[in-house]
Amino acid sequence: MPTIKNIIKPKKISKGAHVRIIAPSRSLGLLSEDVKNAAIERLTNFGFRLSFGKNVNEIDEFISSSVKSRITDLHDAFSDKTVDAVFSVIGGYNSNQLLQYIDYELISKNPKIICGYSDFTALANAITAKTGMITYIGPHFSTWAMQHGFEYTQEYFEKSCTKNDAFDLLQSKDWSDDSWYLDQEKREYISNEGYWVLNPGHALGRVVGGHVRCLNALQGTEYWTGLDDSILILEEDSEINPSLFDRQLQSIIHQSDFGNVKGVLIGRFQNETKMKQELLEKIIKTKKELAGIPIIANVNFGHTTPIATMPIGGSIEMTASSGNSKIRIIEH
Amino acid sequence: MTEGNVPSPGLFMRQDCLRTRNADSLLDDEYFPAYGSYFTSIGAIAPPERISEVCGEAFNFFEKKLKILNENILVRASSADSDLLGICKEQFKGALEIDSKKPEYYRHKIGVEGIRGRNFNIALRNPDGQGFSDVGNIILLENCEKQLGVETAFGTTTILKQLYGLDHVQDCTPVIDLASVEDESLRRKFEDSIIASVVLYREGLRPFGQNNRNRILKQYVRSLSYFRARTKIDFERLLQIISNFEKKEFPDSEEPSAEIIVEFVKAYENELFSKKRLTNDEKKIKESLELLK
Repeated sequence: MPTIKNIIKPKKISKGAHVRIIAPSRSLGLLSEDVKNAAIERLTNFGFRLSFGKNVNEIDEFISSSVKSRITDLHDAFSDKTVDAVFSVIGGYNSNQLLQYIDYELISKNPKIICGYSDFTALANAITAKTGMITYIGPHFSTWAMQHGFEYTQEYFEKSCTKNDAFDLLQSKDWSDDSWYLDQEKREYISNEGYWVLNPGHALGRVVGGHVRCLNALQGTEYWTGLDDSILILEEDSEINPSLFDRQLQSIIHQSDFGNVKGVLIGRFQNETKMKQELLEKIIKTKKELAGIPIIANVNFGHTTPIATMPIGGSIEMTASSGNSKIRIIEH
Repeated sequence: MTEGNVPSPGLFMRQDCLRTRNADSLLDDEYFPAYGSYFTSIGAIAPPERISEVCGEAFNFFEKKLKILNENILVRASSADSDLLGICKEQFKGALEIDSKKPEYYRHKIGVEGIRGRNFNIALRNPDGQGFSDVGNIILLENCEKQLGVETAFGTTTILKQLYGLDHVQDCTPVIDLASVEDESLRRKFEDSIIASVVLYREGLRPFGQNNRNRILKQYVRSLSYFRARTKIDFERLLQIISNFEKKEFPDSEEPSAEIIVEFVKAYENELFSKKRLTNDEKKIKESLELLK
């Protein structure tokens, strides 16, 4: 069983902070100049000073770069005392290639905010498992390029990464699943129907999770953070469908410490997944291990927008109750 | 140390310690905590052949550094430890109390199989002049083959209490805002819970989980609920009390913990009111909270 490390809280950032952009999965070269410039502009206007890892533009046939290049950029970001926070460029498929080469002692001795989502899940959970440092599942560098409908994402990034206070994770008024980076002016918003309360109850625990397949790729490795006392946060992208999600969920349930999971939050599914509340309810009901664990789905994190910034290794209190659910991020 | 490789002349040690004896009894209204859970221990570890000098230095610390009169120091030793007794008599000219305690009082467990400790204890006269209270001990650590090292360990809070005539060890780290709580037993336990919660939180522990250390923190945090109910203190006031304590004891802290500790107390109470099956302790806390409403 993994040993849960004592928590290390990275220092919060504020306007004027130096943010290093690195590409632990896919390359910065993937982004269009428009998206790249829009992200730089928004982050700069927010008050951050930006710098880029020296290898972020390196690009190979996997639209990524060598392990050595990505590790160099990650280590440079943590060893550079002038850097206050680290953002990933975008997701991808291969950040777990880095895990065995990371100098975790360097990270634990220089704790700083590191944020991203999707494939970044592997990196975030591994760093938390190996160091105890809280990491953040939240907007990528590229996400900051969004011209419209970004307010909620920014608000919750600020709550998590610039302030210490506990806060309630409220629901966004609407959400979107469009390819916003292709046409920033033609956005399609969908009214938020609210949380799907799949099991009622109350739970308090430490946050584990993110993108389900990336999380599951850590099972059985030394980078797996363990499930003791956890609030599992699970999300998926458009590559998955209900049956595949079921398989991934079942895989986590087979972990020997799954009995110590305190609660589950499931991020909003993309339209293409064809996941519906009834289907998800059916999936949940077929698994006896989930009975009695509070579960809330359709929460604002995952691959739709907007998204909240969730602290891996932080603490969440959740109350799942029809019409009266509450998610409180206590420590982040 | 377990290999008998303690460097000469030795190493000084300063350790922040948590004595968990109070944790199980915080909800027991009859229990009075004679000692606080948190204290700082100071001392040294040295090779066994230096035991005479180590004892001499320890007595010097009390007699010369702290200027405590010889007559206000008492050594408690066992006649079974003739070697230790001999060293005491050689290094200390004050009162020796021999075999006044049960045999286990002179024996030390360190949690490493095959290693035991034989100790004699140093006590200082109580401020009211009546009797003595232990402030620490000198321990000769050995296995079945040889002597491994000598350790001295003294509790700073017990020393300060004796030196300055404090009512209680917790007055070394006072929680000033609780001074008006008249029931001393309740006040001391409330103080103890605040001090231990802040210290353990700052060590990176959290009040949930299977991990034994986290479970201990949860015991202190849940008792904050009980004590705030018993003393009719709302969350805002509790936050202020913990915050004031933290500012005083950890003035350079960049990461105040008071707000998060109160958040955990709130979460604990939410859990208590949503749970269907409660333990006796939980029922007791819940009943006291209901009176607060």
